Amino acid sequence: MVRYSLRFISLLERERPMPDQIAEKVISIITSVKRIPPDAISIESTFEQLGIDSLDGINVLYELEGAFNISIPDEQAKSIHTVRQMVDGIRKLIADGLADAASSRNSA
Amino acid sequence: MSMRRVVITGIGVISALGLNTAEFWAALREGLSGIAPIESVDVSKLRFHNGAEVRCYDVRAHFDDGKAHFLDRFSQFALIAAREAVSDARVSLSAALRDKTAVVTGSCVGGQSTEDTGFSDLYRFNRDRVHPLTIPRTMANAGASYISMEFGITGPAYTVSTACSSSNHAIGQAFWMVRGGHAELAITGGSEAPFSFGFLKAWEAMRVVAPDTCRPFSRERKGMILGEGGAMLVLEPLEAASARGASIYAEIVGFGMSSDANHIIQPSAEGPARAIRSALRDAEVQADCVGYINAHGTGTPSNDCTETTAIRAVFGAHANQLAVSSTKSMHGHGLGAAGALEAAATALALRNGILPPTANFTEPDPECDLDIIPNQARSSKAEYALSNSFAFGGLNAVLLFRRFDGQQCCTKSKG
Repeated sequence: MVRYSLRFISLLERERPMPDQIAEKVISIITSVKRIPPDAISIESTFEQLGIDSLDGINVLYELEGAFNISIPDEQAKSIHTVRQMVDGIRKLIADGLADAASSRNSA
Repeated sequence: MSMRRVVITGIGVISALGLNTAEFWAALREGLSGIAPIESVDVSKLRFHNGAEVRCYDVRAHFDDGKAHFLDRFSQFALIAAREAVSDARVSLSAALRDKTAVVTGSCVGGQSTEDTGFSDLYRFNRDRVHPLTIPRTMANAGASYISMEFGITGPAYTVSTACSSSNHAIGQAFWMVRGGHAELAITGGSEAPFSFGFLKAWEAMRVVAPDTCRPFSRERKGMILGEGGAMLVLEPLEAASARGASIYAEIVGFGMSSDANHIIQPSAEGPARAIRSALRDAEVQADCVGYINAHGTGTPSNDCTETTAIRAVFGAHANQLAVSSTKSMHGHGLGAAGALEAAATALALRNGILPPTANFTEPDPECDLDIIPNQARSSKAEYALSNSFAFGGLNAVLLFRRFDGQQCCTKSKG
């Protein structure tokens, strides 16, 4: 929790990424990891359709963690099978991180 | 060159289950797991916190001060296990025998803890040099070299590195050398000491390490648990062992290898099935003679399903008669040492007529519908036992063992 708080104070002071920005970034990371054109991916694409195997999956997660400055738990990662699930999951992690940061600032 | 029968006359083990073979077997027999919170590395920045570390290990009890720092922890484990195995075999290593003795060890990452420390000092503290022992401590063959020096062994010595199959490949090579007359004795096995922060971070990124414990074949398994240690076997031709009245643990009768040629981390069922068949063929033993399999059984969702499929593909209906367990649930995944730890477990199981269980088992997974000896060891008259190792990179190595008590009954297919 402390780890999130410290990281997200800086994020709070900048700006919160809009949901469509999140989707855009997720798609751009997948296109770069899988070397496929962006128009081959939609928000409804499943990882199976995109040919994302276990190794691609951990690569995508690694890039996402870096891009959004978040930590994606293994259990959560396992339940993600589509681009939409991934975007929603990241949005929630960012929101949780912001909430943690806010509560730790309030309690400080 | 005629084919000779090859027997195991000495075993040495240092692992999370204890500092010697007796402690290792006592824990396996009781189904006691050595998995616990990691102590040697600060885990506060890691997503997983548990491992199977060698505990209560005092390096000074094994090496004098002048020597200890020459050896990375992985080489120390190799040498400690080899000392116990050679002493256990009660073999006298004459100059002539030492010239015809082979040392074949397995290690996945060698002394990478040494490298981790030395290089991080360079990068973090802007040091302009590393310790001159960094190379000799790090090289993966250091364990084999120190074993050869300790005992004055001047025959062939080398190290095999095939990730999690390393020591099964090593033992298989040593077995073939003794069987084919290229060596009169072999000290073989493997060792690993993978607990360094950088390496644990690399495993974290793979997302295959369990946050709790290793529950192979259980429905709620969440992954593997890293382990460390070393195990060594002394192999001899049956004739030589009998002539000197040696105590025999078990016979090694077959070795099979294959590669998946498929994917760098995703396992396939076909490759492992071909390796098992190849081991049976090498021994000229029928599949339905096998009574026990010490599984690769990492506890990852994909390995355990795939291994079940492979076992069913090879054994058909006989798969329902097979007892299968993963001792990784107790000693952890020893990576390059895994095959050696499990070869020791399998030989001890045949010798004692007791099959070690799959510990930490909670509930069955319909996709792993084998008799996996849940939580409690069981007595067994199994005559033949397999030990599977399937590595990242799709490199598979399988050993076939036979009970040695003069009461063999299962018929060979030929020969």
